[in-house]
Amino acid sequence: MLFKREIKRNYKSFLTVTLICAFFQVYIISMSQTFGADVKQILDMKMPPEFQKAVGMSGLNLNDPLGFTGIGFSYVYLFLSIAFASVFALIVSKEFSEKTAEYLFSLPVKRVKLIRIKLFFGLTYILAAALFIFLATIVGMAAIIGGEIPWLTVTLMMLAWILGGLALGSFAFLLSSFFSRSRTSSAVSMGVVMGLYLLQVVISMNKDLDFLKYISPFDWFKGSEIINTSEISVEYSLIAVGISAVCLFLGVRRYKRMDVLI
Amino acid sequence: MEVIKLERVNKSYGKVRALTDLNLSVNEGEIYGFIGPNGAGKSTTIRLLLNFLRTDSGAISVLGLNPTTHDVEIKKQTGYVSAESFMYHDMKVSDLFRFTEHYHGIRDGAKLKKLVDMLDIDIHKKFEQLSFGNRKKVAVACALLHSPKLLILDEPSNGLDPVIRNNLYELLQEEQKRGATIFFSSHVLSEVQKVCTRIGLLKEGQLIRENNAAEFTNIGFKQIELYTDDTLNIGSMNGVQNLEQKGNHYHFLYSGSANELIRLLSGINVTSVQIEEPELETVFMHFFKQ
Repeated sequence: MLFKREIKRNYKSFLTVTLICAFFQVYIISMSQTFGADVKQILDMKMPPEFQKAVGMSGLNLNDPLGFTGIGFSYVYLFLSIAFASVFALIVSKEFSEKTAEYLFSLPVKRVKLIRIKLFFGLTYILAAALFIFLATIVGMAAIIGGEIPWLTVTLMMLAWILGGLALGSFAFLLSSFFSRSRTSSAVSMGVVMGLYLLQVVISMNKDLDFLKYISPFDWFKGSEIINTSEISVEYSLIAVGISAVCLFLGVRRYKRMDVLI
Repeated sequence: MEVIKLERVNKSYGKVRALTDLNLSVNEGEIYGFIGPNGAGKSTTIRLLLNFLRTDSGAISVLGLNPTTHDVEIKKQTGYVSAESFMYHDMKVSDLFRFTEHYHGIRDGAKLKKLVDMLDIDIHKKFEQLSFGNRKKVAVACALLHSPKLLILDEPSNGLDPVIRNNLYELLQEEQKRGATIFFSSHVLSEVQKVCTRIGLLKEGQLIRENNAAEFTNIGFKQIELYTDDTLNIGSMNGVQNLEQKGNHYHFLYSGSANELIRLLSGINVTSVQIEEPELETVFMHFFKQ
């Protein structure tokens, strides 16, 4: 019942997020057909290499339509991360700020179980959104470009969105347990996501800051690397899973012990 | 059997002490009225009973169980109405009932119909479309749906119109007859007096008086209302308390000798005099002025 309720409450935001990302992916793929084979030369004349690196265009073969998908990957990653962080920041904190926590926690169900149901919904949201955009990318490629579909590359992109989004969402969930107002926790979480994205931009432009790459999930998975190597870093994948597990564990622990004060 | 038992319970919010060594017990089948002004610690006590808060020290038992370790078992047998009655605003009332029933593992159409009829609830509206009083009715119905052994009601009649309020009292008395124990917090003292079998008075986190409802007003004072055009120097008289004078109208509590009062009144021209047991409000004010 609670899971169903979360679906009802979030389906509009889900549709908005996934449709925007799906259309963006299809648009980016269609752009590859608009530009000629000399797109890379045009780009090099207009953008310094550091800037290309910062906006996720470096290392991509833009003469190949798959290269364009790599550009789309970065922006979808950012947009999805903001959406996931927002969902996870509000998933429990909203019950407290909308003062429905007393009603929910007066039901004969363990508080931890209720929180787990909500987190399971959050995870489903991430998986469903990533899968939907994955399918849109595949359909877009098949319809616009034709030929052989790079299943592995697009699947790895989807996996990267899921892992990075889960890490950021889990962090937002933990953060939300420190704020009494859901609006504050949501705003702070989105601020953190934007901050980490900007950090990745700064790291890309300054080699001396390379040691900071472990901090920003946007530095863990890059479209160019996925396309060029057809793999994602196992090291960063484990970091993402580890951070998610720790943040979810600590967040649940804090919410479990939190006073319900209305 | 003691359905609710608090022993030397202390609770603070930072430097603010909400409860100090609170001892309280409610027996099976009682309707216990819990009264006190805002900030006395009523809601804190209720939240401790429901494991929404944790004590700093002391022991709590609800239905013979510890709320911290037996949270679910207690809530299966408890119905709760919060003072503000916030529920999911975007849900239809009928869906809220289904939601509550689902988690209590019940589906009792007859009970639901009875509650909806008695409390005059529109189940087709969304919760956000309801007035405060109507929201309260939904919260009361949700609390009663699973026929709990214990009902914890925080200001349940707040916002209800007189007809529905009477229906609520009727429902509570039916629940008591069924064997339920009711812990009832309220500001409306007359309703506490009318509905409850025992009353506890909370002041600054401590229970300062606890009696049967009938005995509660028996504090050794009579309430006297007197009209006279003569000057009455009664303030200094032994046994006079809470004296209020407006023109020729005197209102006070008296615990002194009846003969002395009659002697005093015989010397003046009394227009009218009324001597009666004090109302709960008067008792309440008496204790809070102390």
